[in-house]
Amino acid sequence: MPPEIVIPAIDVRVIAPMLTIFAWATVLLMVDLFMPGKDRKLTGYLALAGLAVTALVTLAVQPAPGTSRTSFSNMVVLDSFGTTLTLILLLIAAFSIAISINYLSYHNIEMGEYYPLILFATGGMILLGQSTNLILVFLGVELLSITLYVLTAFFYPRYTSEEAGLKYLLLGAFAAGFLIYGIALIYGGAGTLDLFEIGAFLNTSLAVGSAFPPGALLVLIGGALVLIGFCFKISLVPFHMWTPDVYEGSPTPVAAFMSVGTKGAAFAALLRILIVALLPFKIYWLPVLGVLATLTMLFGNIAALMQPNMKRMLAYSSVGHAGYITIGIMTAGTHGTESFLFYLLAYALANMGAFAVLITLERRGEMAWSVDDFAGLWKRYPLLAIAMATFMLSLAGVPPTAGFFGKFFVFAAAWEDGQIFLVFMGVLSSAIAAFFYLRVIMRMFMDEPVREVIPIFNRGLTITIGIAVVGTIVFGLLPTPLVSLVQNSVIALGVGG
Amino acid sequence: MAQSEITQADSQSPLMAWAMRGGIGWVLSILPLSLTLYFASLLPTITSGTVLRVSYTWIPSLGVDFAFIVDGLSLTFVLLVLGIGTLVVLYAGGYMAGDRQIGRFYLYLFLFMGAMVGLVLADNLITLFVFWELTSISSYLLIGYKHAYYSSRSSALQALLITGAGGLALLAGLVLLGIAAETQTISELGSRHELIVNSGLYAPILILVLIGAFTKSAQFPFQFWLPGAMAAPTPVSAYLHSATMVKAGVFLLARLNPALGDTPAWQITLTVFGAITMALGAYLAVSQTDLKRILAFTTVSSLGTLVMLIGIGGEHGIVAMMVFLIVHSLYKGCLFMVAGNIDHETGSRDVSILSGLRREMPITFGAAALAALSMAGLPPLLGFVGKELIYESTLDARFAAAAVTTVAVASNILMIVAAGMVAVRPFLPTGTTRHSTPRHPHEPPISMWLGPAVLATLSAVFGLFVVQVMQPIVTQGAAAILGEAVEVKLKLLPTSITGYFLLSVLTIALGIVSYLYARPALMQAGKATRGALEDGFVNGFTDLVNNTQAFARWITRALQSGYLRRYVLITIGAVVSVASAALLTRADLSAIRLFDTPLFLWETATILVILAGVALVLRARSRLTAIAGLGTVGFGITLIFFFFGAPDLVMTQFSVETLSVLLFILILYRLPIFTTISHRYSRLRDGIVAGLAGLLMTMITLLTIAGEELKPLTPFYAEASYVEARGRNVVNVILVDFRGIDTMGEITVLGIASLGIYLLLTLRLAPADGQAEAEDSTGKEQL
Amino acid sequence: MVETSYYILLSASLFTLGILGVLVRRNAIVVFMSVELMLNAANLAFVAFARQQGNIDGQVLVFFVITVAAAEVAVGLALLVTIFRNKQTADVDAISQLHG
Repeated sequence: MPPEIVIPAIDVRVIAPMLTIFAWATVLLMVDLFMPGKDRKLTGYLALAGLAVTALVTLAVQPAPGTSRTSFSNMVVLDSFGTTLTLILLLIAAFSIAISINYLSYHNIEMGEYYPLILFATGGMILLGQSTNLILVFLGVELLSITLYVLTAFFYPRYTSEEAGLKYLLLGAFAAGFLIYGIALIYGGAGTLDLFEIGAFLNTSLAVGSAFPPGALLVLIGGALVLIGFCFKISLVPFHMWTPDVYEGSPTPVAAFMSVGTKGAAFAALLRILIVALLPFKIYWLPVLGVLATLTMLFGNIAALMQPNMKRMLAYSSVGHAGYITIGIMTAGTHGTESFLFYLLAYALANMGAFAVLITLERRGEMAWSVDDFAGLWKRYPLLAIAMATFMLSLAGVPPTAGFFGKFFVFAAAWEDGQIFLVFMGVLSSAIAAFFYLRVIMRMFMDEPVREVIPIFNRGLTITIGIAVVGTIVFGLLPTPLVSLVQNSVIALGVGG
Repeated sequence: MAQSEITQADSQSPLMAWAMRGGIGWVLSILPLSLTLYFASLLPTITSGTVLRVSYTWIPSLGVDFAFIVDGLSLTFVLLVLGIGTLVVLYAGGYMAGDRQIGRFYLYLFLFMGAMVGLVLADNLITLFVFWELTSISSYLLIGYKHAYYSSRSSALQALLITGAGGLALLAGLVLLGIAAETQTISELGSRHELIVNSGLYAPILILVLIGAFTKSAQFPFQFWLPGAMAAPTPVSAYLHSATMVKAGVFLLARLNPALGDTPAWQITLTVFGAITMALGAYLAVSQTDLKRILAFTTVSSLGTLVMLIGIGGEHGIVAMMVFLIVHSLYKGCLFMVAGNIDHETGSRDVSILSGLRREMPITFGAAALAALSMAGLPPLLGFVGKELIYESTLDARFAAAAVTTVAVASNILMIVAAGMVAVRPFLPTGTTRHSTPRHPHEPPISMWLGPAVLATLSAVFGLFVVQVMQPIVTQGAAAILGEAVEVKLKLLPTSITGYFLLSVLTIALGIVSYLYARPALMQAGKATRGALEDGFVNGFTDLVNNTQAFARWITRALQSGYLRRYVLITIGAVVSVASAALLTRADLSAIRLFDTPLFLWETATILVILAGVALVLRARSRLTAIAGLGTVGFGITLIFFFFGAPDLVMTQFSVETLSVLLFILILYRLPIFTTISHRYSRLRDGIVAGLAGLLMTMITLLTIAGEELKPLTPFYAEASYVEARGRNVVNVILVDFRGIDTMGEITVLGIASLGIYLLLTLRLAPADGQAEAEDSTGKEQL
Repeated sequence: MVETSYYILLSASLFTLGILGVLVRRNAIVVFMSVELMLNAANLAFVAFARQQGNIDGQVLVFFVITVAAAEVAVGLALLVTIFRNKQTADVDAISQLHG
């Protein structure tokens, strides 16, 4: 007798954004193959078009406020949190491509595969933000990681790019080992890979008796290993070691993409795991994340303090920001996801902008991103200096920039949660951070130029920097629309609804 | 400014030349002047006791409004900021004449002025903070304006670091205050005084707000940045460091007095720190020789006085504070501009070589003399009224009245000496031969003497008409600070001989005597203690900054060595130590038990084979051995998959394993023989860490298993599983197929992998051309 | 058959040995192999748990791990070859130009 097979109903709308971007990337890969000539700018523009189409699809299928849709046996969910995150990720990807188009040809590394790879990675990030099953979480992490290993090493024949790629890959694979082993233990304990079911399992098994049931213990240890795996991806101290090396070695647009996109997506997935599946363990993960956030904020900012290399400085600064975002997700269990999403967008705008400014100053065949190149920028290119100053102020969290409200939300939520020590450490590390951000401003506005540097402008860079500046200031002055957007971005805590 | 620059400007256009000569100051001063007049027109409304409020919704979800309030306190500050601002804009036109970047200077100056006005008018904690930070940033730009000089940049940074850090503390304090009071509106805080004080957050709020205020207003122990900030152009010093920005801290304390005041902690802290600052500033002022530094230290002293008066509180303290605030702004703004004129005309600010300027600069001298008399507290100037009120309130202080009064008297004596040094010595002939100054002095243009003259005149007019001019606004200001209506009676001269009048007379007498006879001794004493009291703070701060930087360099170098294995070591080390600590303190290790089911022979054998494979991989010195070892492990695991009834997995694993081994062999064939096992010492270290990790894993596993009801699986089940496995397998396959997204993802992963191989291997086996090679080598040299 | 715990213990030891390999081996390829060992350990655990739990989710995930591992190996080896052509070494300690 043939076994009864029940085919689950598939709601394609749930995976429509992913489907669009993956399909587009695949077709783009083919199109690129048959494209004549060496010029690959068209591929870049087509990729941008793909992102725009994906954004439209995302908006078209977005669920009604407060509701969510699941599909594929509850493996993926489409909630308003996922929609907002997807839109932010698409914006980040669009920025990355916009600043890449001329960068690649200028540095003689123009290959059409670059753009589909970015799209694939973005698809992986979207998947990560929407998955409610550990299988897909793992798949999403690997999808974006393996793509990024290749992108990191894209700067052939520059040796440091290859070194960065290898370091990223070895540590990334090492982290994947922790992640997958942790998933295995969770599975062993809970008997399921579904986040909702894991949460339900923990609730029932912890409610039974006073003793700690073995299954729950296994989930706890597995959860710890999964956390370690994620800590590598979001570069929390002491799992951040690869970050500065990899950012420095990789092509600058890729570093920009990684510093914001990977972090955003991985944080989102971690957030879902923590508050959907592991909320009963909050008493365990809260202090752990607190310690990690503290270490991260302190070390990231201290290491950036004396960094003469701008690219590495931004890398350490991104480590520091991971600490603040961690505080944001720690409060997600009680305060929703708003501080996380707001911070992410504010950080994305400022960081992408800062990297874009860095690209305008990057010389062909050079490996130096010295702070010296920013000296006296105000005198020669006042608009560029003002843009960079805006980004530095936003990263430092100085009003009236979006970064200020990002920090404000995070700290306020943490305080109301009773995380007084964390708020204190956050403010302390912000004071340290202000030093090196303002040092850049000081070099730009007060010093004489150290050497002649002529920035390269092109449409993609100008538009990116322009949008980032305007966004940073507008959201700093009028955060209300954004606040209501992120406040309505609710994470789905149950199936359906 | 340099003569050559002016001629250069002359050659451009008449309008430009006129602007460069200082005409721009006249035009630009219209803006602050009209604003001053506007706010002055509000005086009748405000002095009648009305409070004006404007509010725009900003971020409703957070209760943050763009809210402003005009009451006695804010109107006083606004008029000072804009009024003195008008004169400074005018003054700067003359002082900075010929400076080619004067446009930028004015940009910063107006930015600062706007921020300051916003700050004092703010009626929302967050609005206030936003403007507070804007004043820090714009003042930083202004202090560092002459950025060609190292001292200018470093002192700008010093000021910014201290006020910036203070600003962060303030933000934390204000957020807490908002939480404790359940409102962000400042004017509502007063009615929630009880709520705030009893909220349990009072102590952190107080500490954080005081750090913010003390850093901004240069209170002990942060007083040292203010003299350093004298590197700024003189108009900036006159504006920021006397009349406005440094008073922001005082303003904040006054504004929050209804919310936070009236507790012993508030009174004692403010009185003690204010008194220390007052005494220290005055003491250090008289040992300086640079005009601007003398003024800077007297400013520190005055700020201390203001803070102390808020601490003493009560009607007397607050009224004294309001009056002295105006007194100080008027005379100090004037004296800074006078110092600027002297510097501008003679090229020197050294009081030990300046003398006899009275003849060349009569108007400047007149203004300086009036201002100095106000500073010294002589009637009929406003300074006298201020001093009377100060003594009245110190005598009335709720604790340590005698000590506080003594300190105040001593400080005021020193202030008289300082006033003489600034306003008398450079102008009157000193008897000794006159030193030559770098430039031959004469009276500066009208834009530069108008400001000091106006301020000095106001000091006199306000003093003479104290009842008519001062009393109404001081009444309303005091009411705003105290949070309740008060009746204030100001008078120029006392009607009867009171204790504080006697103190005033004593102060003036001792001050004049000290100026005439004790100056060398004071100078000596100041120089002797300068190392500790003056440079000590600066050096301490510099050391702190340097040590932090050195620490940052060291820790970055130590951790980010670039060695991948060290990264892993540190990471694993951290995880192991934390996890073991958690395990040892929390877990019940006695729960661990060993197995009670015997292993079957063939399973044991498989496991042994796998372990042997691992050993091979780890110990191998030849490539092939390592590959063989890994292959063994892989195939061993394949066997176990088989035991578990997953033939599909067996197939996949088998093919992938084979593929991997082939790939490895192919790649290894291209690479050299590896004998590179790390050194004995480091191997030992790594081994210990990894061993600990292993021990940890084992313990965790054993703990997990302990107590778990594991059903021993019978051989029968194993047999049946094969049958079932097939059935399951069908489901498995179907599920994999129908969970389309899994498959899609899987295909994507493989697709990307092949793309990666394609990119990294095929395309790049031969570099495109020689150019790429050349770039590569330059790239390396750059490293 | 034996009880699941043996397999879990074996998988834990494999995982640990993988970590050990990453720590002590300097050849990048062997480091790779050690990472593969860690992934294999996870696979082992998955299959054992799938058996114990009586559902096949674990076995499904193993597919992904295997494919992902293959992809990682492929990209990694390609990277190693390019580095080797640049540096003539596969010693991870020599791959340390980026630091600080």
